[in-house]
Amino acid sequence: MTKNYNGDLYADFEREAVPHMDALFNFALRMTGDSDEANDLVQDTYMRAFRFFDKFEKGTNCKAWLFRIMKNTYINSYRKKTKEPERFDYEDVENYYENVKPSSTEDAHLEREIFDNLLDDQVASAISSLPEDFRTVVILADIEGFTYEEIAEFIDCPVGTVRSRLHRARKMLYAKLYDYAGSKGYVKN
Amino acid sequence: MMHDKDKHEYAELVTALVDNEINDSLLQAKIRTLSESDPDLKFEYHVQTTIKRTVKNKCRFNNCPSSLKNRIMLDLRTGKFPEETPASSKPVFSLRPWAYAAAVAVIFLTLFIFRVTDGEIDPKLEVLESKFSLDKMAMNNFKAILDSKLSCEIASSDSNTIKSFFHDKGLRYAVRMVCPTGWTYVGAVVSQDNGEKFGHVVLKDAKEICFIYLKWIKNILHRRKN
Repeated sequence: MTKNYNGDLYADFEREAVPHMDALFNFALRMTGDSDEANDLVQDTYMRAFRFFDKFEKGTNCKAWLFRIMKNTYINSYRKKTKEPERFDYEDVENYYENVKPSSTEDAHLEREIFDNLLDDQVASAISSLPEDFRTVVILADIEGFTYEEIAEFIDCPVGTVRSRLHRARKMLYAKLYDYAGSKGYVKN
Repeated sequence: MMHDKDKHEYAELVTALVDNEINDSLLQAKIRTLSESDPDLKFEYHVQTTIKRTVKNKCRFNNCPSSLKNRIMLDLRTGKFPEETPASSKPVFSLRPWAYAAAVAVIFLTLFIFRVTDGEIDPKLEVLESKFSLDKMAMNNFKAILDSKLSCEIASSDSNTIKSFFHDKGLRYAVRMVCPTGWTYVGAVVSQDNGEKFGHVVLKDAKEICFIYLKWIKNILHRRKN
């Protein structure tokens, strides 16, 4: 074998890292958009995590540590293979956004219902179409429930950048989903 | 009057308010008031809450498939640590040549356990036995496992779990599991040849892994039959 089997290390790893496998798979699937790629990405992440588990500082956030390994693995091995989503022109989003403001509280309630009627796949597809940096923060904040600080640690940038990206990502999604709703006849374009 | 720059900054703070990420209570109160009084910020608040809720409610959580969990656990237990190679080209078990040789030797030293359920011998099994060298087939299968062509389908150290797995996979013979002292089960796989299924067990000790195929011995069957 390429490395001596170490029962204690394995037991620690099993206790600390293995419980986060579902969360990592979920993120991998959202990032790659392909279950085979997600499987490989999760497996690679866990193998690398175990190799470097002696570097993990006990008592710190293991989930964030695993996500960081996954991010690096994704960047190094998978991103090249994954088709980049269409480019977003944020100025277009801003202009669009100005035109769809509900004029009253009643309209806002109606709009909430419209968004509630969207299909799960439509929402998933809108998230997939976001540029990677923006997609990452939406998944981590709104699906995985990470705090800004954890996300900042994970994507290696300041907390202010996380907030700014999340703010813009949600606006992009709003424009995208409003468009979907229009195409389905839920709202008048 | 609010400048555009301020408004933009406040708009982002509305996002932080929605996510409960403003620790300063004074700032929190200020942004809350602004998000209720200023039409633009009110709209920002509406957009941020609507999308946050929509994403949370509409994006179902995808659990990691159990087959993947098993594969990862098996790889960890067997101490498989791939070098920095693309995922698709990795073998299931990475062994150095000496370990490979040792493992192959263990195959021949390890007991092969078989038993057939009561009843008539399946003629098809007899044909298979006469047609192929099972030892050669076992060597090929072990090589296939090392080359990642045949991956373990279940990771378990429990013999009963592996027995149930063989049963569920439709093995036509009952299996008696024997684990040599100092070794533990790590997983199993079922292969198929000419429509017949064969069970394979992977074990490990402190230094090596080995592979056992579950062989059916005709003379034992005959003895049982008589």
